[in-house]
Amino acid sequence: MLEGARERLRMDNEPKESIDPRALKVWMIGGAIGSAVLLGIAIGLYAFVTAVYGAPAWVGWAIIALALAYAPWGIFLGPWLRMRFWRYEVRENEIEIQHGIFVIKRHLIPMVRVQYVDTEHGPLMRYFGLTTLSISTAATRFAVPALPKQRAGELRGEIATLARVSEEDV
Amino acid sequence: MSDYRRQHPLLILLDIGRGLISNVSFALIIAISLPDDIFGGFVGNMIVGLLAIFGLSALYNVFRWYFFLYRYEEGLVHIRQGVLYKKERTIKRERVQSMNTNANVMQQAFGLVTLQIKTAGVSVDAEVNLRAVSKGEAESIKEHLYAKGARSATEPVEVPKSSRFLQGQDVWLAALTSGRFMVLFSIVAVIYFQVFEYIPQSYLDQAVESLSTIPLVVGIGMAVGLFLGTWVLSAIVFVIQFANFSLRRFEDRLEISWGVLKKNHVIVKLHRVQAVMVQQGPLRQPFGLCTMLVEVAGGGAKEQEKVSLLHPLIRRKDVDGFLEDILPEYRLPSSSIALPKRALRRYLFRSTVPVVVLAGAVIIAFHLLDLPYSWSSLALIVPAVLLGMSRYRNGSLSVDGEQLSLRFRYVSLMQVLIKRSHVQSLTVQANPFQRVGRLRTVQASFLSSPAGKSHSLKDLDACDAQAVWDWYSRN
Repeated sequence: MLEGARERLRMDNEPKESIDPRALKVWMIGGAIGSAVLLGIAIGLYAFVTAVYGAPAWVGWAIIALALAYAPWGIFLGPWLRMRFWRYEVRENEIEIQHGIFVIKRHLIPMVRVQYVDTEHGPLMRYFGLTTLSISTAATRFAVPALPKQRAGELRGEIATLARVSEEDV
Repeated sequence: MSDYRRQHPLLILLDIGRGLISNVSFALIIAISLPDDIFGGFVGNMIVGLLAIFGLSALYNVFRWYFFLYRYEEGLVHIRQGVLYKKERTIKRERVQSMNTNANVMQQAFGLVTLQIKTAGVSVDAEVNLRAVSKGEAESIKEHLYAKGARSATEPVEVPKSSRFLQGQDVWLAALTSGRFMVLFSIVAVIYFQVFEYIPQSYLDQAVESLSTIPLVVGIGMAVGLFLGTWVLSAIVFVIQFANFSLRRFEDRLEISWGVLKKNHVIVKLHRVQAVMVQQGPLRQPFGLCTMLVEVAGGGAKEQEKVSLLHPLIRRKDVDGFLEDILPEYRLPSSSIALPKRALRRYLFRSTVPVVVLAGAVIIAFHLLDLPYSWSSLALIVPAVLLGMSRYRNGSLSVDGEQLSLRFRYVSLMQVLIKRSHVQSLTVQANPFQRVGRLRTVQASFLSSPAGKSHSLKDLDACDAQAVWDWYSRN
């Protein structure tokens, strides 16, 4: 029964391509920074609560414990799950993107609905030579993060060519 | 028609009138802040203040009116406006997405309308407002931007393919079942509680004393009376807003008009219609009534530009005929896929958990404040369970050729009909619990005003979700 559940926890027919493994490093660093900030805030709150409000010490320690509890999630579990589930596939007629950590979403975007394609990157991604590919329809925007810069550029060109938005479509 | 024209000079008065309240308060502020002896006391200050403010306002509006020029010819409209910063804009027929007219009471009195021409885009620059032109002029401009080829007076007026009106007693039926009074009632209640604080204690004591001599029945009667009063009031407001409702289907567009005090006329090009919705609110569903709505793309962000009401009141059994007449491109599905039994648990969970948490919080709070009757909040659980069950039973989906139909309930029962070509993307998602239970949530995104929107159905069987995926896929 456990085996069946494990299989069902994956969603079958996942899209083929995964994103660059270096993304894991980026997310882990991001998670570490986030945890550090959270810890800093927690320590500050501890000082504030005990010094100013004179609350018992255990309240302060509880706050710090909560902040520390975020760390394994933000640094390890979260990025690993995100990496595990982020998938994409560019076919001639449509694009499929899957992503998520807890709630897994799978998007199907017909090529004729693609309005424009962007590439963008933040400082951390750029350091690793990674880019985010952003695909927009008339209604929503979808992202495939952490692709090697060259691959992102290739895909952008490929999708731009394949996307033919016809006259009658809104 | 290539000479430049101005809007009707009455616009100056209307604009001054629009700023009346703020102008008067400005004058008041000036009057208060000036020392008393300059113009002869407060009254003198006030008069001078009013004169100054209104004088400036009049001057400003005269200039604005004078420097707003427009001209139009076959296929385009050209605007030139601005006193210091001049702005010129040309709008060509191809770029026009919609043309609406509306007229408030003052405008109606003088036979004027506001003509609003909108192009694609949300920014202020994307539209042109001619705020005081005669009805005939507005029609003339619309015709020039409308069809290719001049229409001469001898040609027959275009006849609508079909039309629907909201007649006499139906207006009242719609008004009484609109459910808007709930909003009004809550506003009234909020105001009441705000005002409560400011009533002097002595009045309150007096009131409580006199009230306590009134039997409980009368007290309840008063509350019921207030409720009914708000209901009737909101119904009257509705009637004033929606009387004279008419819906006409032409070859390539829908024309909808409504209103008594403020007359609105909206033109929706058919290709902008993205989805049709049948909405059955809790007051209408028991009587077999519903409202027809449309999702329209390319509108602006302002309230008046959201064309969403297609018809305020249709009988549920007439929806088929309505769609055949007005929007034959859409039809009610003949069969649909229901939710699997294991989804019921999740729907009940979603509807009852917030209520349980709320009841828990109320009980704890009441306990801390020493108030009685905290257990009554648990009574909310019963309707929550019923709502969850209703949502489960009503949830369904159908793919029928080119059309996807989603049926769901939050409070009102909604049925969305959308064509595959208008679905911008399809998303199937599942949280870990859904994945273990082989359930999926299906979400269709489409274009609406002002931005994209989506509708979804939760906890559909994974195989059925796959069927929708395959239907949408182009492989």
